[in-house]
Amino acid sequence: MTARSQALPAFNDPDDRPGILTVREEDEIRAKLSASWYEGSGFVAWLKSTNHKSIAKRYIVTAVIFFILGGLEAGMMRAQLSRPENRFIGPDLYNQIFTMHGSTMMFLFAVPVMEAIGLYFVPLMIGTRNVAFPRLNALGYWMYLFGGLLLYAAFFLNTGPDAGWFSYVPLAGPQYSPGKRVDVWAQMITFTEIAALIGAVEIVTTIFKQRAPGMSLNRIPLFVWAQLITAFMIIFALPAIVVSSSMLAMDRLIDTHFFNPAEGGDALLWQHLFWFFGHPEVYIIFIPALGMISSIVEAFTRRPIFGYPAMVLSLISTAFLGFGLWVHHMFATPLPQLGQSFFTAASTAIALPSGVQIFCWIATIWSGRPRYTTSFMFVIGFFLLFIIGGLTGVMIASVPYDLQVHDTYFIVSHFHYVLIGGAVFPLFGAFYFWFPKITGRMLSERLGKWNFWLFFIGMNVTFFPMHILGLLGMPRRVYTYLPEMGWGNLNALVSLGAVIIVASVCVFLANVLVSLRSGVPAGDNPWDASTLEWATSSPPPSYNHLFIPVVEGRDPLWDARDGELAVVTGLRTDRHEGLVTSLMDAEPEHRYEFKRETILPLMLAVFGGGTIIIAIFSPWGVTIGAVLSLIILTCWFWPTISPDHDTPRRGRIRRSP
Amino acid sequence: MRRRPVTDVGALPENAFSHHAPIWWGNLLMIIIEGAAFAILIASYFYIRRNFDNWPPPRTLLPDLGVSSINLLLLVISVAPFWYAARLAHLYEKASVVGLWLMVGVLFGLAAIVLRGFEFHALHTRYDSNAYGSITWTILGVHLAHLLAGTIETFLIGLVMFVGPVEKKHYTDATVMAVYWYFIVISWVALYMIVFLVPRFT
Amino acid sequence: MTTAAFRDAVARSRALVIIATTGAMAACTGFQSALDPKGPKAEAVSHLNWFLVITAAVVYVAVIGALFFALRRASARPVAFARDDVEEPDRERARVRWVAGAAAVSALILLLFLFVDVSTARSLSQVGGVRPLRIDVVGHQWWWEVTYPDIGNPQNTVSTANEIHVPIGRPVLIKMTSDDVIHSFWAPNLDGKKDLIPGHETITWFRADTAGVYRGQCAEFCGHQHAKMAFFIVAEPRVNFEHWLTAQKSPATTPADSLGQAGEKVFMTGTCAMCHSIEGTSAGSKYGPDLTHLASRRTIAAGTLPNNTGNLAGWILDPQSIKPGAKMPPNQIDPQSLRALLAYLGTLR
Repeated sequence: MTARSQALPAFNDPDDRPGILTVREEDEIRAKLSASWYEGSGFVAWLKSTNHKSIAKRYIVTAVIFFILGGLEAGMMRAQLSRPENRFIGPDLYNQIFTMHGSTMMFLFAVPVMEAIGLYFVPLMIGTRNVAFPRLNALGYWMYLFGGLLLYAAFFLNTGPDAGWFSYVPLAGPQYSPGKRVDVWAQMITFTEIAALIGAVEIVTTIFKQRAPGMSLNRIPLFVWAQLITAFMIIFALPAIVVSSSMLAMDRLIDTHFFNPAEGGDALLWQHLFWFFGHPEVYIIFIPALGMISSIVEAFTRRPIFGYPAMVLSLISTAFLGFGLWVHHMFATPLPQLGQSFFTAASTAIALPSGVQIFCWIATIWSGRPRYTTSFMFVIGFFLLFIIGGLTGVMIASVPYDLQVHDTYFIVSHFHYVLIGGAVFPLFGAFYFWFPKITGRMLSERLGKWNFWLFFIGMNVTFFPMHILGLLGMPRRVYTYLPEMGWGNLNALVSLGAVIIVASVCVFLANVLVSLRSGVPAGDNPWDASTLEWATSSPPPSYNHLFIPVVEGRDPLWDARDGELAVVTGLRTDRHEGLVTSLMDAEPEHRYEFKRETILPLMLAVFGGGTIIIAIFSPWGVTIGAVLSLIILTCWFWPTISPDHDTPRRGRIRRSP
Repeated sequence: MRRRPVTDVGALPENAFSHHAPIWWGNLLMIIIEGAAFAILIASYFYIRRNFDNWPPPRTLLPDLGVSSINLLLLVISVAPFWYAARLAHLYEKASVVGLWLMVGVLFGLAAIVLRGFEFHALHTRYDSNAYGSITWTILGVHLAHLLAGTIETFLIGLVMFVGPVEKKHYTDATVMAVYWYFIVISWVALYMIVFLVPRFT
Repeated sequence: MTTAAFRDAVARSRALVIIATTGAMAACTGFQSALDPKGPKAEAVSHLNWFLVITAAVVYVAVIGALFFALRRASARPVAFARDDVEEPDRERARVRWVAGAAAVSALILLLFLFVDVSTARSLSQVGGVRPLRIDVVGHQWWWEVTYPDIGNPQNTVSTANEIHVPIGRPVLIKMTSDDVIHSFWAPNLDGKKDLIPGHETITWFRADTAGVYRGQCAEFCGHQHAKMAFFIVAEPRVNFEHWLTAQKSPATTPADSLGQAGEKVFMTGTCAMCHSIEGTSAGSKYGPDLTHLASRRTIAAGTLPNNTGNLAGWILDPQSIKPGAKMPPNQIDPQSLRALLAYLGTLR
């Protein structure tokens, strides 16, 4: 359809007005788009999918499964530590379990789930039909899945990594960690880092070039800003662990000496490289959650977030400052005092932009009209919990203070308050907020309130006493402790709290299962929210929006209160076509074809992944795998014959049979 | 919610170049990622150097300037065929001519790869001798991986331009390939200075 | 769900937390506690802790108070949709001033924190006054090698393990490194921790002002028995310390009784001498801890067990059952030889 039809409508719709698309016109387009965007049914079609929503849903489900596995690992640790000199788990298994817990939560749950929610909702919120590189997106998921499977297969074969989730050398080096455990960790990193980088490239390119006309950068939702900034952080931070994990793998496999002090290498090089990645990593987890909070607070206070420019600048400053803190993980190492003070200053300063965001949200709530849905309760929980973690964070920015509590349960408490309070609570809020959009059904509010309270109480009972345990001298990563230390009662209390958290997660899973089957149907916009994902059906059709919308402000659906949405026409319906717009002001530039479903991403993940796994055992795997991957990539990029493309003036064209 | 059409985009082109094209952004972001990795390697080089009183370590010769300087010159010159191919591609000139210039670029790439083999020798150390050997071999090796990938990719795009079917977006691909090649050359200028020149100025 | 009920529930759970905290605080005094300082560095950090905790608590109450106040006021708001409120622009400008003010106050508090942090760090880095006592510590998996170097007279160098004696009131300067992986030296009653890193030398200092026995523990994950790598610092009056140091300098002597001599033979001809050294004998291996004055130590196995005959016997026969993964293998010794060995070890005071 290239222009508005000149024919009169076949019947009179009372809502018809001049210039409005008729129901019949919309139905025509709907039928064509549904047909051309249909990916097929059955398992093979599912494997071939390049639809961003299918891929994102897979990411989310897989990440939640890893969350549960990581939680079970935590449960086992708490069972072991509930009593002094307990014999439930011995040191070898305990060391694998705490390493698996950290690695699972950080690499297989937190970053993937935050990116996945972005991959699902960013295209919907900015009014486009798919991410910029659909096949690459599929590849990202498969690499992530295979990395997780590698780690857990190794764990069940008693070859799980056991040197901690940050794998310090020389303990993780060839001499003190013989065998393949740490090599498994290093290559799991390879899989998950590739997936994360792919997701980041998708997010940036899609946000920069595919926004709806009129959606200039100062009109994109704060959730989209958060995803954009996080993607840039991933791009700048992940290379550090790409390089360092490769150096570790090389030291272990082919006898290089990056971290071997006997040959000029340095154990501290590992720490610098790891934490240069590792500190931004936690902000990579946290900043998307800040975006989710803005979406939720806006919807449930019925007003746009206060101070949009300040919010954006706060997100950007947090991201920048996040790259300047890494040495605060190394205060106990021999570093010059002046340098340490710099990192104290930066670690203190980063509290300010987070504080500004909190004040802006409070101002929003103050001048809004709150609705206490489960989603909103999780956001209130965020305030109560994250601020504790943020304040202990400012405390440990001090070098002398940190030297007492570093590597103790005080730190464990701090980072669980900021990660659970600052990321997981907003994530659960996001689940309750967006579940209706993804599935078309509402989650039960009654079960939701149980979920929230059990989690809030359980979290505090588990983690607050850990502050005290740390100050009372209990170090991290100990599989047991002596009875005369006096830590037994607090540890028992902590373990009880863990049981409450398990109950909370069970309630959540029950809520999901029950609601999928018999939840209240959601409709397009059950919360009367303002952003574009709510302008389409629940769940959205495979092509997202019937027509690409045109926006004039930050809250398109609230701006469109007269019941009309401005849209763009003229995109083709016989192939997957989207609109590319300009970077700053989102003016239409050209039409863009999204690549269709194909098995190639899965195949590349299998061959590329196989290469990486062989590299655990032999460097020659790299050569064989490279050749196989090259073949797949050639198929990937080789032109397919498609009809009706504009062809250049001169050049050979091969027609399909 | 009813919909009011306000713009029709049916007449917009199907292809674009430079920062208007999503693939250009994908390529740029890849360059940033890999540039960050090189920066980390460079930082590691200087960090490791602090552990040594003599750099290169005792009984290790300075890395030879002969073959490495020839390779540097070769790579700098190789910018020319890519630049020209990109210029032709922008104008949608004949596909086989664009392909031809890309293949000239491939020849330069192959020569650089062969010379890189000699450059490893010119380091006068092994990757498993000590940390100096490990970091210098790794820098050369990672850049070699870029050279290989870049040469093979250029070959494939050039092949498509010869064999077809050629669509407009393949012209954009050719220009984007040239940008990636510029990155390969510029990063080598920096890495050459660090690996081959810094030990002479210590 | 009303805000009132919500706030009540939150208040109730916070009360629970406060009760638990107070209960735990009663256990504040104890060994290996940062909240029970026995030296100037730990004391400075303890003061810092209370300053930070109280300031943080005040900030928390203020911010959460503002949040709950906002929730309550907003719930009572008559206008359903903020954009329909005609007075909105003026109110919005007022809010800008409030938020800017809160940000400014936060910045000032953070600057205050920064000032206190940096000046505390500065003051703690200077070793006070008197010439410090010099001790070297080398970390091993999973024990602490402690040396009192005597630069002028190397023969007088004292080598011991897992127990450090210091005179009260005199600063102690510790130079540390590791023989294998990264460890961390931490005795919270006295000072913050410092890492022991192979290939690096790290330096820390502390001073004990009160006599007592203070437990420390490795605080950097170092493998299987990281959990059981403790040490004790015995702070005693200068006279007692000098006595102890002199006694430590003397080599072992052959036991007078025949049981002890038999035990010495068990030690020297068996596997013990392969890893352990005893000054004054032919046993000189530095792989495991020096046992010259084993009987003078309070604990064995790096602070894991009190040093008595029964524990020592169990440790010698099967260290793996106490510290699985430890570098010391099980030893098959018949009961008679074991008795003799224990008698011999008992003479190593």
